[in-house]
Amino acid sequence: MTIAELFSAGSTDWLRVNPKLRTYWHTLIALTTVPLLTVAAIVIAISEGVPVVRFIGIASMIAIMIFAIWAWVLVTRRVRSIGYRLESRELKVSSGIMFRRVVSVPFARMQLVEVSAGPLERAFSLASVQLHTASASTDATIPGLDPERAAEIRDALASHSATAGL
Amino acid sequence: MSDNFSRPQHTAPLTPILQLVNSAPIVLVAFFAIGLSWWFLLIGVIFLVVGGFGYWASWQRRFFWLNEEGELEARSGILFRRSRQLRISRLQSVDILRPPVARLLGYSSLKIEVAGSGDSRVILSYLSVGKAQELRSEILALAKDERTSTQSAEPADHWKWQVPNGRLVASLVLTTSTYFLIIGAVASVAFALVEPGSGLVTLALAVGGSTISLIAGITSLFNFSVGRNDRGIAISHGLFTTAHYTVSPIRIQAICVVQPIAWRPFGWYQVAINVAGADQSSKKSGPRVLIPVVHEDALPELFHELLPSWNLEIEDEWLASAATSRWRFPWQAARLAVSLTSDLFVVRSGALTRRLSAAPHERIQSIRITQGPWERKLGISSLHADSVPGPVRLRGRGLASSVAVHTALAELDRMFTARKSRKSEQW
Repeated sequence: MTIAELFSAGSTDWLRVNPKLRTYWHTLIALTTVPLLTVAAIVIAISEGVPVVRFIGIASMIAIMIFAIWAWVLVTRRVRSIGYRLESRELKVSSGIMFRRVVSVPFARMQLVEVSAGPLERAFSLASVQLHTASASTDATIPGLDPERAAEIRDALASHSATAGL
Repeated sequence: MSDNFSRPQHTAPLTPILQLVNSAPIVLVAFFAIGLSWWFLLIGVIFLVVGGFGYWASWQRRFFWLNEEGELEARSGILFRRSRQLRISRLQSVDILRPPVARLLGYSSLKIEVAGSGDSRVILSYLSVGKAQELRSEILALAKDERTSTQSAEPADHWKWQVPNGRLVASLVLTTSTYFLIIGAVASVAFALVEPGSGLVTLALAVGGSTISLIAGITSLFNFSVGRNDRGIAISHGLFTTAHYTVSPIRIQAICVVQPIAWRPFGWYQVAINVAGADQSSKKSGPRVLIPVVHEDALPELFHELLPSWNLEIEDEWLASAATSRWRFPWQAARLAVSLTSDLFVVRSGALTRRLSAAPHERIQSIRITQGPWERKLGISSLHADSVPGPVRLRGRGLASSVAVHTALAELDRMFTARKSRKSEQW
């Protein structure tokens, strides 16, 4: 049993995020990799006769490609690893493939609920919900939510924290 | 309440001169750049005239006073006028700062901070020491009036404890610098074996680096005193720049009792604290150390005076780390353990530098369990109790995964009930 299942008393029914998050993360990877590869290609093209620079160019190109392919392949599993549960008194979020983590934030400790959607996220009609407490290391973020779902969660959290009493 | 500060007033008339002296290093840089010549004298005179006039003009336009709405109002600016109001009822801290030059002449700055993000602080430079203290106690009295509506005089220390400077220096020598020195010495010997003569450079670098950090530590913590007054715990320290803090006990969110290995023969301990509301962007703004060094015999008394509600006695047994955790934490596996008392979440860790960290259940913000691939192989997890930013981190590592989860759930239960049942401490 994974720690997430242990943490929810053996229950595996964590709420999942929108699978569109995969496409969004794939697009992000492509958008960061293509310019880097272009720079590396230009370096290789203009370094004719300077073996050291050329070698660095080729090596970094291979490294970028390996890294991009690795990240690309892992996206599906990363998206599937994200789960959250709105319990009666707390929010639980789990994520991670290699480095797994579950976090539990009691509603009474919430200071701020943030719904954010960057331009690219909006293009995919996705939004993230982030919970802030007085601690900087809380790190309870749920990415890849439908905007309506994100608003629902925000409202639910807001009403909970009002009743939880600080 | 006296109406001393209710009229707009300037800071000390000597302010422009002090500011000019503070920017004198620019002249020194110019001196080294061009040497002693007519050009240098010319630049020096221009600096004196222009800088002096600028500082004088800005001093002329700078006023502060306590207005009728209970705010500290500060106006400044020659071309762009700036006016700020700090609500005294939301006061976080009033600290007297004593930079070296001003200090020699008996002047100090007053830093006033209120709750809120961004522009929430004003530094008044410079005030005579007496005036700074007067304004400070008036602001504190105002803040207290607004909160509890009781009149109060100058905060008198009920109890005060001072760290002997000799022991402070000795304790700091026995921490950071020793490790750097040992590493440096080993490295220089190694280099000298490979290439004779080169060891000196690395040794010099190691000695130089550790000496600088040591001196910085000593000057910052020199004359350390911690006491208790009506408003909370008063901490002050510093050789050149003196820092004063008054921390309400409620703001202490977590503590850590630390003992580096070199302190063990002397029985010394340090107590570090996480303070709520300390500015998160700069580490310097809140106190991080409650007691820099204390002998174990005096520790119980200090806890009794400063942290009366923190009972570090373990009621149940320690939940020790799993046997397999020694493959992940070879040195400290035997020390790693967590325990839940009726008030506190307690973590024991560290083989060379021993630590005992604790936070009350109601001040823990969230609970996390993390597990890396290597930990998963060993069937262990780490249990984190998140506190506000500061030097103390509560991490129960090397616990068997099931123990980590059960402890997390038990801790969550206590976090839910703790805030309801416990009345906030009065001081």
